Amino acid sequence: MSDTPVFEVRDIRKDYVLGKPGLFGGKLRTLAAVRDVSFTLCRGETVGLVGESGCGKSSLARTVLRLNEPTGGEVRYHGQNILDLPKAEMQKLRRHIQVVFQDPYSSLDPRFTVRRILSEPWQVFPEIVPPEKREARVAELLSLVGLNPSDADRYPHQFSGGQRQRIGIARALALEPEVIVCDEAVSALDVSVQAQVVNLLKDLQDKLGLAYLFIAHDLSVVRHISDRVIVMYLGQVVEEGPTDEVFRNPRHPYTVALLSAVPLPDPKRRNREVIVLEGEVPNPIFPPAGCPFHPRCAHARDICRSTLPPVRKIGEASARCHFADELDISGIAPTIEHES
Amino acid sequence: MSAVQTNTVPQVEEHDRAASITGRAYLSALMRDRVAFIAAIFLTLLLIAAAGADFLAPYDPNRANLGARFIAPFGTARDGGFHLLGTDELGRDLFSRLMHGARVSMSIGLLGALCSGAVGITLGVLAGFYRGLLEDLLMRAVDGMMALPSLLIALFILFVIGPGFGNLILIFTLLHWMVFARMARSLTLNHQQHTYITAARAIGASDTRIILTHLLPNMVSPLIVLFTLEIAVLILSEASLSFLGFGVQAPQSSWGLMIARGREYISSAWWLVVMPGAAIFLTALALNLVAAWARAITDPVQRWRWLTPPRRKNQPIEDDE
Amino acid sequence: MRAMQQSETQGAAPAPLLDVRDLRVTFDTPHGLVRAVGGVSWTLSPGETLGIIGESGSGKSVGLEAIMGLIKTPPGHVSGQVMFDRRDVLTMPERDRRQLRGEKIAMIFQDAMSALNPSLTVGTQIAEVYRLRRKCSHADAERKAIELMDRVKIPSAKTRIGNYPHEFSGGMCQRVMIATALALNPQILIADEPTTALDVTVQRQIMTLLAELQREDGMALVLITHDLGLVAETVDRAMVMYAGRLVESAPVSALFEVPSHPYTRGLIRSMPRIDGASGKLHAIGGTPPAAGRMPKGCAFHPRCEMRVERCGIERPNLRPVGKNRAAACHLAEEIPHV
Repeated sequence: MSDTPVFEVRDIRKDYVLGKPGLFGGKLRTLAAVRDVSFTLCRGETVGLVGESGCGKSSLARTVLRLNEPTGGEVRYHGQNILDLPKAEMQKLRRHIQVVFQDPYSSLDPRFTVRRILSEPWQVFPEIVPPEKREARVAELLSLVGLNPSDADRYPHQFSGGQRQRIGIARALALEPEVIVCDEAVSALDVSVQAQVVNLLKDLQDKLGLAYLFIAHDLSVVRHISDRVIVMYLGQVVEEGPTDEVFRNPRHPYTVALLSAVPLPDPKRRNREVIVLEGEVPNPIFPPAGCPFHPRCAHARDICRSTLPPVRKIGEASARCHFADELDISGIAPTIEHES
Repeated sequence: MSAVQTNTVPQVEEHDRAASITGRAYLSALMRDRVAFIAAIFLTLLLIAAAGADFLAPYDPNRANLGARFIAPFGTARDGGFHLLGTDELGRDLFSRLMHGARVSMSIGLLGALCSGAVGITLGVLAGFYRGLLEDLLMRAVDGMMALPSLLIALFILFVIGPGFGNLILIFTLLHWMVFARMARSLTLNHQQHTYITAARAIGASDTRIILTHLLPNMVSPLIVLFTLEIAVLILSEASLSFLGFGVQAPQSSWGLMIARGREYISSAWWLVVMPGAAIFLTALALNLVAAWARAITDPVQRWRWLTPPRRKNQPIEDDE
Repeated sequence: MRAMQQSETQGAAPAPLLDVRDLRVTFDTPHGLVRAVGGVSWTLSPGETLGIIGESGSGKSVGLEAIMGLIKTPPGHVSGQVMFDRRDVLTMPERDRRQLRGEKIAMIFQDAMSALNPSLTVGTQIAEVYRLRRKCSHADAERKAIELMDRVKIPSAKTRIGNYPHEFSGGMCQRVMIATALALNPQILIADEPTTALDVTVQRQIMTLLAELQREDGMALVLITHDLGLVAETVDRAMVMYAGRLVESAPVSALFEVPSHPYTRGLIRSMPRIDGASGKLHAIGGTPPAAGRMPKGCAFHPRCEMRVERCGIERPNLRPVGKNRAAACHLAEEIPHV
């Protein structure tokens, strides 16, 4: 892993304005889907992004890919801010930053054969693979993702979910990118197939030096694939750090609750103490004052209700909690002890 | 608790069936679907009849024969002429007139639907794709146009610019594009939610490329259905305009005009109304049937149903003890 | 198959609540007759929690839907015996079956949001059960609906009773579904992937709630899921399905320690673990066979690391392998620990 950052996101924000201005004006509500998120991706590195629905992780994915226009912040690719680029130049730059989507069913055009799906990127960027070599390159890509080159003439609906996801990965690889955003890329797959795709992503990373932004709601998968992990809640990063550190020694009460909620495939430990969070994620249109997590937090005090906590650095990790270095909560997440 | 009927028919993977599809496979698939096949034959014959009416029609459609007025279908005139569909109030052969009328009716229907479709689909797709002010303006315009009494507007414009074939097409485009625009817009909105549109954007595809290669081809099926329905609607609209004297001008004739003229004699000579009416009905029906077939066969997810020979009934399961 | 049936019921003192014998479900599809469930037998004791594990297409849901009478026939075809209260559920008249469904056996689904009618308030939908089945008055039914909503811990039930499903979150919709399912105090609750669409913290809430309700009412719970973690934490006994057949059935602690089927072992090993180290996962190669394209012999053998020649020729039957356990594998005794 080299240390030159390939992809840097600085204080990115995305607000959605709700509704349309009425006939007589009136104030519009805004929904802050992503609030000041920053991270860095180096070559061959995977940053995992976890959070529950509504935490802003999908908005973040679309925003760093500039499929949404962000409200503020910077996204730098090799130091160049891609948010300033005019549309035409942005389209050129897209070849370096690719994406794999969650839904293996709707992400492939049903009318295209696999061959056409994989070679479409080269119609946009003809210089990557000259026409006479495309046939061979399609076969190469298919075998790279573990499919049969003879599958090229089939249609997406003739494949299973896992196979389609492989096609989606092959399409992302067609442009020889440096960064791939995996937006819940393995969430829709069955366990045995999911493991294959996770392994495939790892292999490809080793082979091609790809950097991944791996977005998922499944903490176990993120644990397996990520070098660093970011935990989001209501549009904000609540905790961030090296994966082992965050999973063994979580500092934010939300991270602890999240880890504790994951069921363990170990019947012997079913009677361990777990945290059952009260209530549900608040409506992001009306986020709570102060720390966004305080209404559900067992450790909340007065200051949490009034003041947004600053980011506190603890070693290589950081957490956005007033008491990040005081609270002794990591013991409550017993999932962390492990022998293997 | 209401019983929830969940659809659990297992998806069977399809194996290499649609991989190579030849023209011959399409043809044999068409022949297997009997209804669509008959409809296709009907339309083909209709087109041949319309195109070759000058040579194929048994009589001159405009030659009056006062000795042979109001002959019922399958009747024979006193001069020995056989009239398959009978004759009208001037003794003109109805079958020949239908053949000639088909030419006018079909071309007005087809051209009118093509022109209004082209305008409507273009505007609708752009509105759905780019949203914003364009969409607002367009949709308000659509609502406004829908509220106008179209027949009155048509009459007024035709009164100013004069009747005639070209002007009819112009009027129809003006008054029918909204139907296509509305549907194209909602289809665009719907398809944009599919991730493959986002995926195309992510590989750097331009808007034009996305619209032309991903959006439009996936919208074709419902638009084809609308298109065929519009053809039928236009044939009928032309009929009412012609009836009022602002459409096709004699001696040219169309199915609509024939119905309009025949109405006076409906109690004594029913076939003057029924025959052109049946022609319109059958044409619209055949268009719809062929459209449904075309929609299924162009859809890669569905077409195996048509392209594979019917399976044997009660084929055994492979392994039960 | 009957042998394992007997071996399982012999030891257990109470008579089984539900006794499924050789259940088969086939569908008539344009591709031919397709078998979704092939000859599955199992029993459920009163108050027991049974887990059915399987991936999509394994037939885990279809079998239970067949028991509930939710399979459309045709194209479906259901055969076998399902004994409940000394009667065969599959052959009883539709009227009795409707009675049974809801009164005795209730079911909840993965997608609670779409299982609720969007144009009726949740209160109406819960109260409907009482009005239809118990012929309660309007006011009584509403009062009971509020009670039920309290029981499934929907906060401020009195005011929320007039809300529509879209005003509820996914977790709350699932609570409403559970409330309607529990309205008539069923003896069996079938939960088909009840938390798959929910976030983990909400999943924890729902599973805690289900466990509580089960303890209070003493009903039996059948949990259908693909999530091994959920199975390990909730159920007493687990059954693993693959390609429409039962491949293993065992008490849950034994299952996770010493699986008797290579597929079970593969599943457990391929699962990413939150308490595991990062690194490669032990994936099972290949994909499950498509319905209608079953391999000869054992359906799992093309993906099996331990296969021997026999596996490709002779399909292993489910046979007892130790106390309260059964597996359908020629090499069941030789499967290594996880």
